[in-house]
Parts: sequence; structure tokens; C-alpha cells
Amino acid sequence: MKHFLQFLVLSVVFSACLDDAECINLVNNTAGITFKNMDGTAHTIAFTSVQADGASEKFQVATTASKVLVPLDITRDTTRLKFVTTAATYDVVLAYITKSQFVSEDCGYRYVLSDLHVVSHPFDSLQIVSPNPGNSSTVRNIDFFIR
Amino acid sequence: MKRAALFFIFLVRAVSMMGQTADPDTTTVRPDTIKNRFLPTGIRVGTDLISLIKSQRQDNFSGWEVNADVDFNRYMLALDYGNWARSFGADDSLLYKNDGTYWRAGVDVNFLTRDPERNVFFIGFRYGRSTYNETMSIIREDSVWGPYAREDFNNNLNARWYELTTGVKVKIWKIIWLGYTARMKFGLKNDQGATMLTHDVPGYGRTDKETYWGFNYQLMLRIPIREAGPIQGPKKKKKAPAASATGPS
Repeated sequence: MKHFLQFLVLSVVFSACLDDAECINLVNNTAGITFKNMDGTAHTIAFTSVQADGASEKFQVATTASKVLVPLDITRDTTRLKFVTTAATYDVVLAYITKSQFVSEDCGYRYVLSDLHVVSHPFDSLQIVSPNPGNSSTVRNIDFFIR
Repeated sequence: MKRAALFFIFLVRAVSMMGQTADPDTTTVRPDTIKNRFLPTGIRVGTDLISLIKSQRQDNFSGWEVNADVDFNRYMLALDYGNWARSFGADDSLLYKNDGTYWRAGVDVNFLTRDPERNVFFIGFRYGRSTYNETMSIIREDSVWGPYAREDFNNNLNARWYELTTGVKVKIWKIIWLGYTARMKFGLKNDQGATMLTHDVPGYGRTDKETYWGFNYQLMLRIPIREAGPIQGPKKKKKAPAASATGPS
């Protein structure tokens, strides 16, 4: 009887620890794009708007900045961006790998993006700082250099 | 591969270290002879009751596991084989399923060396492997990108991990035994799918955890192979030295 009680208590204790409904909050579909002069200093641009094909809204309106944050299209593996400025309009195509992952019954699923790279751009040069998009305002992925 | 090689080297050394030197102070006749040193004393086979109960009580889980161990006196070779399948999703907007088989192999060391019934309290090590499939289908409307549908598959992916185990096996009646095993699983390495990351590995659990705890409650039958008493005889009190014939002057 003593052994049975030990088994019962321990089985209840251990089985209570097995399932953990902790949610993972990681949808990393934000890319940070920075504009720089050829000497590496920040290049400020007067944006009218930043748009993407397939998006229902503009990401950024009427601002002057050297860095923009753009959401990447999770329904496909490329995003075509249009940077509309007071001087010109720049078209940039970004490509990446999108993988889905089930998280939990409570949290649902998430997308994990990786291998971010530039397919086409009109600038003088570029540098990939990080191929993994993020989910915060401090993310920095691509530097475009302008003469 | 390197870790698997180290594990098997450990396994061979553990089996080769089964002989014990005789205590010169005892006069107990050891039941095992050199001839029977590598002959197992018995084989236990059983099943995990928790998997069976969960399969009946939870709609999103189905699984079973069989366990076996070969009793080489103080050391036991253990082998587990199982199958489990999970599914989540109440409607078409999100459906996730996985299923697969797994096995574990390892060695346990029995620390109840003086129990006449050969009950077991063990600490052990396991190497586990799994082969599994996953599918997930999503139908959603994103606030920025609009409506979309996606279906991803992972087919015949493999994973491996290690476990530290501890537990008890107790003789209940004749050849019927009950036991439990607590497992600390770690060192998971799994194949990466082309379009979907693995959520759950059968036999291990969720992949987002570096260590994962598991617990089994086992019902077993022990098939004796040869007669064997306790691993070590009862503790012998050392004889007090004989009193000196001459007293103090």
C-alpha cells in the first residue's frame, strides 16, 4: 500500500508539470532599412510615403528620416517596396525564406523569416547587416548607400 | 555521431564492469559464478500507462509505448519503443497534426543492492531517436496583407536527443511489477523542414525547450531467467577483536 501511495503522489506531481501553455511572441517580419552616404554617415531622405505591393496601407507617411521599418509580406517570399520621396521614387524588391511553425493551441502559429536579401534596387550599393528580420524598432537589416 | 559513439563506449564499459571483487571480511557464498556473470537474471517487458490513459482522455493525443529491460544483476539494458500523434485545431482556420515513432536505448544502474526481492531504484541514461511527419494548414485574413491560405508539410524528418532517467521498479505480486521513470530530455537535434519548423517531436516533446521533462508510469511483467538473490548480501558486522589475555599491570 505504501508503494502504491508513493506512485500515486509522484505521478500526479510529475504529470502536472508536463504541459506548459507558454506563448512564444516572435513574428519577425519587420525589416530595418537604413540609408547612408558613401562615407558611411546617415543620409536623410524626405519621404512622402513607403508602400508595398499587396499591402492595404502605406507604412510610412510624410517624414524625414534615414531609417525606415517595413513589414515583409508573410503570404509570399518576396516584397516589392516603393519609396516615394520628394526627389524621386525608388523600387526595391526584397526576398526571404518564410517558414511557418505551430506554437500552441492557445497561441496559434507564427512565421519565421530568414535569409533576407535584395533582389533589385536603384541605389549605388548595399550591405546586408543581418539576414534575419526582427520584431522591434531597433532591427537593422539593410544599408543602402547613396552618392 | 560523436556523441553516439561516446554513449556506446560508455555502454560497453558499463557491461564489462559488472564483476565485483569479494569483500575479504564476509564469508557469504556468492550466488553468481563466473560462468553466469553475463547471463541476465531476468527480462522485464511492460507498457506506459500514462500514454494509454492520455489517448483515452484527450482528443488531441494518441500514443502508446512499450518498455523492456534486461537485468544483468546491478546493471540493466533498457529499450523503449513508442508511437504518438497529436492534433490541434477546432476549425479550418488552423489545423496542425503530427505523428511518428520513436525509440530509446540505454543503461540503468540499480542502487537497491540488498533488496531480496530485487526491487529497483535506478539512475540511467538514454539515447533517443524519432521519425515523424507534420502538417499544418492555415486560412487567415491578415490586417495588412489580406486573406491567404497556406498548407505546409514535413515528411519523414528525423530527430535525436539524450535523457537522464531515474525511477523505481517494484515487485507487486509474483511476476507483476509497477514502476515509474522520470526523464530529463536534452540535446535535441532535428531535421529542418523546407517550409515549416518542427513544433513537437514524438518521444521528446516541444522543440522550443532546451530541456524537457517526461514521466512514465509502467506496468511490467518480469520473466526470470535464472535464480538470483540480492545483488549484495546483508551487511555483516565486523567481528570485534578478541580481548587481550593480559590485563593492565
